Amino acid sequence: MELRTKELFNSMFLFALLALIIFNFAFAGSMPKSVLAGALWVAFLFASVLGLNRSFVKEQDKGCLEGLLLAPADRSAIYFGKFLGNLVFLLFVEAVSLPLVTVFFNRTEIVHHPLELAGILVLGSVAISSVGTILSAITANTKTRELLLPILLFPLMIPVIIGAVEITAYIFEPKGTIDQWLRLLVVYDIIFVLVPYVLFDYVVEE
Amino acid sequence: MKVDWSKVLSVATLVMMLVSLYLIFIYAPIEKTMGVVQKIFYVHVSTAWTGFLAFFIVFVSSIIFLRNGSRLADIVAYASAEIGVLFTTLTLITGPMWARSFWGKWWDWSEPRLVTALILWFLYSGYLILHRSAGEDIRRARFNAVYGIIAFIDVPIVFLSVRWYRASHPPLLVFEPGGLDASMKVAFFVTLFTFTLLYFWLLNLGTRAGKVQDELRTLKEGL
Amino acid sequence: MTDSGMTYMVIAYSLVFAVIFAYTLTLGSRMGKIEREIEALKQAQKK
Repeated sequence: MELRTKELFNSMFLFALLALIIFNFAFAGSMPKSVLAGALWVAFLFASVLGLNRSFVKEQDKGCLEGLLLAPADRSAIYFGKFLGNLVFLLFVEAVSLPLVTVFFNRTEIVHHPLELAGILVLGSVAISSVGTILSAITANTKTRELLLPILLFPLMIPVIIGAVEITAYIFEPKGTIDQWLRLLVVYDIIFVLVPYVLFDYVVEE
Repeated sequence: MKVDWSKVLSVATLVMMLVSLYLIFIYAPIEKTMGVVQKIFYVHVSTAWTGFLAFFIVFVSSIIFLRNGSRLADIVAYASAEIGVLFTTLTLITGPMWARSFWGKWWDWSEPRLVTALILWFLYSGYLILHRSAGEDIRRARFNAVYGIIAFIDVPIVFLSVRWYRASHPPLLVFEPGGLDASMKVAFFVTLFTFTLLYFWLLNLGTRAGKVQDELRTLKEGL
Repeated sequence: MTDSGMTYMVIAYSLVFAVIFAYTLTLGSRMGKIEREIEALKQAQKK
C-alpha cells in the first residue's frame, strides 16, 4: 500500500511538471503572469485527477470499505479521512512542483509572496479534493470510472478555477480587487466539504 | 366522476401551445429595431427556464430519494434529467442564433446565463451517463442522487462566478432585452407557462416509461 | 439582417418543435416496446 502511494505521488508530480513544460512550449515561451497562474491551476487540477481515481478503487479491491463500515466510527468520517488524505497529497505535489517551476521558468513572482500563495493553494486544493473525493466514491463502481471522474469533476470546478486563477494572478501582479473571489472560494469550500459529509451517511447505509 | 389528470394535462398543453404560437406570431408586434428575429427570444428563454426547472426537480427528487428510498423519486429524477438536457440543448442552440443575429457574435464567455446553461448541460449529461453505468444497484442509485444534489448546488455558484468574471473581462454582448411591450409581455409569460405545462407533460410520460421499465425488470428477475 | 434573421427564427422554432416531437415519439415507442415485452412474458408465465 505504501509503495503504491509513493508511485502515485511520483506520477502526479511528474505529470504536473510535464503539463507545465508543455504549456511553456504551447505558449511559445511567453507566459505573462496571468497566464502562468492559469497554467499552474490547470496542471494541478489535471494531476489531482490521477490521485483521485485511486482513492476509492483500491479499497474496493481489497474489501477494505466493507471492513471500515463495520467499525463503530461515524461513516461520514470515512469521507473526511479520504478527503484529507487527497488534500494533503495534492498540496504536497504542489509544494514540490512550485520551486522547480520557479527555477526552470525563472518565475520569481512565485516566491515573492509565499504565504499568500500557500493560502490560495490550500483554498483551491480543498475545493478540488472535497469534490474530487465524493466524486471518486460516486464513480468507484462504474465501468468507465477513470473517464467519468474528470467528466463530472471539471464542470463543478469551473467557479473554483475562475476564482483561484484570479487570485493567483493577483498575487503575482496586484490589479483590481479579489475580495469577491476570496469570499466565493471560502463559501465554496465550506459548502463542498460539508454537503458530501452530510450526504455520505445516506449513501453508505444498508 | 374520476378525472384523468394525464389527459387533462395533455389537452391543456396542446391548447396552450397553440395559444402561445398565436400570441407570439400574431398578437405580439414585430420589434422595431430588431425585427422578426426577436421572436426567438420567446422560445429561447422558455427552453432555458424549462431546463432549469427540470434540474431543480432532479435536485428535489434526489433529496427525497436519499431520505426515504422512494423508487418513484429516482425514476422522476432520471426522467427530469433527460428532459432537462433536452431543453438545455435547445437553449444552447437558440441562444447563439439570437446572439449572432443581434450582435454578430455566436458566443460570449462573459455572459452568465449562456455559460451557466452550458455548464448545466455538462453537469446533467454527466448525471445521465452516471445513471447508465450505475445499473440497478441501490447504492449506485444513491450516489447518483448525491451527484444530482451537488450539481444543482453548484449552479448558482457558477452563475455568480461568471458574473464577476465579466467585471474584469468586458462583455461583448449586453443581453438586456430592454423594455418589453405590454403585448410582448403577455406572449412571453404565456409561453413560459406553456413550456412549464409541457415539461410536466413530458415528465409524466417519462415517469410512466420508467415505471414500466421497472415492472419489466421485476418480472424478468422473478423468472 | 431581416432575411438571415428570418432564417434563424424559422430554424429555431422548427428545431424546438421537431426535437420535442421526436422526444415524445421516442418515449412513446420505448414504452410500447416494453409493454409488449411485459405482455409476452406474462403470456409465457401463464403456460
